[in-house]
Amino acid sequence: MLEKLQLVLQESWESAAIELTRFLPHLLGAAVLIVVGAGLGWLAGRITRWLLWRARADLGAERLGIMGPARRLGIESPSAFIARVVRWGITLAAFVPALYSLDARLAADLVRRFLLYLPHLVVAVGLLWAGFLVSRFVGRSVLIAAVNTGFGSARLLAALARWGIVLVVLAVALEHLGIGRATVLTAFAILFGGITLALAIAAGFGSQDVVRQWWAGRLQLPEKRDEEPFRHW
Amino acid sequence: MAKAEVLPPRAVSAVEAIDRADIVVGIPSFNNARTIGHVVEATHAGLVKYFPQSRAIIVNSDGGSTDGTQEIVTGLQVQSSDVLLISHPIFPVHRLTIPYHGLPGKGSAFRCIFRVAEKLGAKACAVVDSDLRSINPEWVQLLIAPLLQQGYDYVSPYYFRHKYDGTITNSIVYPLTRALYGQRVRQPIGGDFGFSGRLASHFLAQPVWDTDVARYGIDIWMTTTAICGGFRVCQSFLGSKLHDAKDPGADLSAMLVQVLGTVFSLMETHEDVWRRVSGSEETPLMGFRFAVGVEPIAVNTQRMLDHFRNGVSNLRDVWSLVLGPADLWCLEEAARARPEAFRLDDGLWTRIVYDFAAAYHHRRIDRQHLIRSFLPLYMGRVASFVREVAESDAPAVEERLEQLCRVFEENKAHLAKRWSS
Repeated sequence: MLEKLQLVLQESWESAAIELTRFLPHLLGAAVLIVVGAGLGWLAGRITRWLLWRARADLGAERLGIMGPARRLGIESPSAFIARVVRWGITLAAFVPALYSLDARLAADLVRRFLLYLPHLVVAVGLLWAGFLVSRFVGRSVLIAAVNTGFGSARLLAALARWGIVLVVLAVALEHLGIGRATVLTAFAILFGGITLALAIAAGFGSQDVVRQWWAGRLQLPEKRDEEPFRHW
Repeated sequence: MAKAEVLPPRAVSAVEAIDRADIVVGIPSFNNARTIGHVVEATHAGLVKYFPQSRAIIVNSDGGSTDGTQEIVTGLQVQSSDVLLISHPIFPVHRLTIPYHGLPGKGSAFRCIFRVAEKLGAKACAVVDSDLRSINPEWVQLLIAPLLQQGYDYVSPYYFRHKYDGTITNSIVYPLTRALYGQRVRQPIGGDFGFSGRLASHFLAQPVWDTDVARYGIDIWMTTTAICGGFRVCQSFLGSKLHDAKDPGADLSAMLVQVLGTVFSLMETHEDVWRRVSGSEETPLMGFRFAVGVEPIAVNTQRMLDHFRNGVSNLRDVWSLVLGPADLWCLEEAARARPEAFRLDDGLWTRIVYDFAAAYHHRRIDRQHLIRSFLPLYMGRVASFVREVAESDAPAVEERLEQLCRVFEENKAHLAKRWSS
């Protein structure tokens, strides 16, 4: 009995040692790949940062007016941000051959899924970024126009315009990523359908007199606006 | 590559048939059937009375009028009067109406007129608005004679206006142009100008006809280009300027955007000029100055104040990208003041205008947003000015404006600093 136990333990230990001996080189290889990748990533990041500094990318971004939205996202320096993206992109890319080194089949499957999903991710990020910029521009346009036409709740109107666009873009981005597709679409349809219905009812009730007057005096001209009696130019 | 012809083919043939002219008077128009007849008659009378020895042509550059404006111009029968004329004209005064192409606006209309002047080899030209009710034959003499007889290249108008009229000119364009370019041209966007044939060719050669200059910016562009181009500039006193009743659809916001946008854009074009100019000098004034009675105007300053206060409470975030914190605080204090104590002083106003010019140059925010957000500040300034000069007569108002102009000149270093930072 003891001899059998000893044999079993010895065989288990030998199997484990053989597996470990077979696996260790793969593990070491993966570690080396990751370290080299991290080193290359660091170097590429430094080079990118230097090139963007020479090209005065931060000043260009300021001039293009994208620093405002960028700062809100916690990006103080576009060149530093891009350099960091390059660095971590190369570092993460080094994990791919490292995974292959450990298990080719699993790695291949993961890489295939990631590469198929990547375009959706890129498009979604681009949509969100563009949507954010557009919403900011439209919000400011509405705010200034509302102030200049004497609208009392200019900020509210501007916020509605801005967040309306953000919601639309967010729904489109989530739908593109396939996250809660049905839920997002349904919620979006309910929300905007509700807003449209409310606006239609409000417009209908609010313009009863105007419509009545229009029908009653179809040929009457609109009233003159109250303006200063002198010429500004 | 040959430049594209500005005039339509039919107009080219008509101009070539006339062949040569000494004087061209242009009248841009769009649906001005009610007033253009009077303008053409006054112009015609001025040409035959004061320049009977000269070949002259009246050119109506029209933007596609649908109310019969062009037909009135071409069909008008103008009678020469023995009472009016001392000597009879040698040459008939030709009349031509041309539909202009390009961006809709006065600038495109002027471009046609410049081209006609260039093709005819005109020595002197003038342009007058088509909705003038106060034009008389003497205007033609006052706009053309300095060009032909005294060698000037550009004649800017000088009107006697109600103290509340022309507030964009009084609050912004005149003091700013004077401080920048060193010439005291009182009405740089007056609308009725004289210019030499040489200057007309210079205008035509500039690449501005696809910009805001082609819309409402043409007046200030002409004045600034003449000053910065080293041309001889003078002014002529034309008396009062009365237009046809104001178009209620005219949008002040759009006007301010185009005029101010052109002024700021010109500051970029002529940066080397305004950086080296210091102070200002008088621009010669032709004609006999006289006072004109004007009807009192009641102004609703409360509406302007409400617009200003609405701007202060809602546009602070936008203005904080342009103005300094101290000036923002001053604006908030002003918004809290009682209407009878409301005031935007000259120093604050000057810094606001200069900071907006610098922000336009640096593109801190979208330029259209920047200038449209300026409107509440402008309304506040107008309200402040109206309140200040409510009891003042014309000379006192001019003296008040002179003070404002001196502050603009003294604060020019602030502009230079903000422009470069």
